[in-house]
Amino acid sequence: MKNILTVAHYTFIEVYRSKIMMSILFLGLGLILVTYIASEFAYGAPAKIALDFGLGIMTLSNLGMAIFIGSTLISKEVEQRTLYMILSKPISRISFLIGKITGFSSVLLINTIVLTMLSVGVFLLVGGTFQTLILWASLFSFIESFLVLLVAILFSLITSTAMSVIYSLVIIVVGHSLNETSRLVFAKMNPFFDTVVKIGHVLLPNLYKLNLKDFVLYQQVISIDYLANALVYFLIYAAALLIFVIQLFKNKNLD
Amino acid sequence: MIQFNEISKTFKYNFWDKKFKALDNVSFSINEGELVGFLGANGAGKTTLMKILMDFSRPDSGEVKFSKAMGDTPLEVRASIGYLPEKAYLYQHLTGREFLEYTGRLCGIQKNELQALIVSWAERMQIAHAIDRRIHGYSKGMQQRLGFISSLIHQPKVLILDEPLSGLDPIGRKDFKNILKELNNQGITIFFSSHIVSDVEEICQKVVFIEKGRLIYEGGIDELVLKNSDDRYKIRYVENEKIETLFIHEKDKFETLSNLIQRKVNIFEIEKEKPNLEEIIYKIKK
Repeated sequence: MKNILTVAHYTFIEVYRSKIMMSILFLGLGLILVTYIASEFAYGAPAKIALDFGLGIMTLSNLGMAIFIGSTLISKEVEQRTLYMILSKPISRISFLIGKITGFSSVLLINTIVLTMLSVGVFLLVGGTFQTLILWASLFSFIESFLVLLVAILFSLITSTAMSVIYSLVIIVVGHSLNETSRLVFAKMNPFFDTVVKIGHVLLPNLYKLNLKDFVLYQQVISIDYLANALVYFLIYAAALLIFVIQLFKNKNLD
Repeated sequence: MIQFNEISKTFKYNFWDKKFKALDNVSFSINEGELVGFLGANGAGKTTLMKILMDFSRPDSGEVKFSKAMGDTPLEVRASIGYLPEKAYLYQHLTGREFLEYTGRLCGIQKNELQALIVSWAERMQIAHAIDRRIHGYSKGMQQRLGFISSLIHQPKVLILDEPLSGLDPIGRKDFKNILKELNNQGITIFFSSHIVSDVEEICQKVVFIEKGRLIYEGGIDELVLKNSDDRYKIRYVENEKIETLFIHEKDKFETLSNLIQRKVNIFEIEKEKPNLEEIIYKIKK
């Protein structure tokens, strides 16, 4: 546990000081400014527009970081040989991997907290009323980016960095559209397509469940059962994915 | 202390390519307290073997065995090893001190002791002035020095160094060699690779030489030199105010010398002709 925290601590410092982190944060802040300007032009519903923009930007910047840094988090260490210096010390590969994931997840968490505070700030500034559901939406955005991080690491262990980015993007798009696809008449009428969608439901993360923006913006209520179910589903999914990534990394030839 | 048993390793760079044999049935051992030079040309398989030793890469067949003194579990074994990879790239956004704290903490060194070790080693390796600077501002040689400190900060029993002298200026090379000798005198076993024969000849007692993945020689440098020496002597003397040089065989040694003494010439040098390690390695390769 001590080793995991040590790796996490220095991973956090390394990512925090990197230009990628700074540029994404500046992008986030710039887009928050755009949000404020957009809400000024939205006659009648400026608060909704501000919140919609704010939550959307937070999700995009979280996903951007998860994909682009996640794809290089381990592969860059192998290419640059930095991981040899660490793995030659008395630390297991599992502790190293979990430490790297923990360290980078803490960067994602801080990004989520900062951008949520900024989004809520702008939202309140243009006359919105605070609701707890916004915090749930932020939490789910963090969970989504954590899952995508694991997916990006998984692909980076079996393919190149560029392909890992592309595959992770595909997973995000498919993960968000699985629910809607299964509702299509074509899918229901075609047994083969229906089976493919069902298999997709089992294997791929149903990211649609994590998108609470519609509830926050329009319905403003959500059952606690839905939240609890979604949370349990993603915790189990993340645990399974993590075990798979660990097994891959444990047996990987670091040539 | 470390035993390599019939290690073989192949690589396949592309799906359609034929397999390339990087190591072919390599077996040798490193004993406690030895300073062993690991020689081979670029691409001979030195780094691959070191990666297998460190369990970064797995062999197709064969195994590396460690003595009980190094520990029972893989983590205990690693705690007793200090490793420096070839051209170590370090975390560019950390400072030198942070990097050493990172690796030192993983070795379980206490905070105060770690700080004292960092200060003393940074001074010894002449990077104390830059220890709080970010690593991306370090020169290649400074990064090599920092990596070297990291490999020995936990006082390991064995040092595994992959081309530790590359990228260093002549003074740096001399410093490194002196430190390696000093550490070896303190009882630390050292195994280091190099493709520069003179470096190995200067400080090692034993040499392991591989070529195209195959073990060519394992043993003492003196034995190798003796085995490959001609039985020839060089005699230099002054006669009639002129310096003369004679090359004679072992069997003619006494006769020639007594003849020269009878002629009352001034003999000022008798030397057995001995090729250096580089010449021998070149001869073996041919």
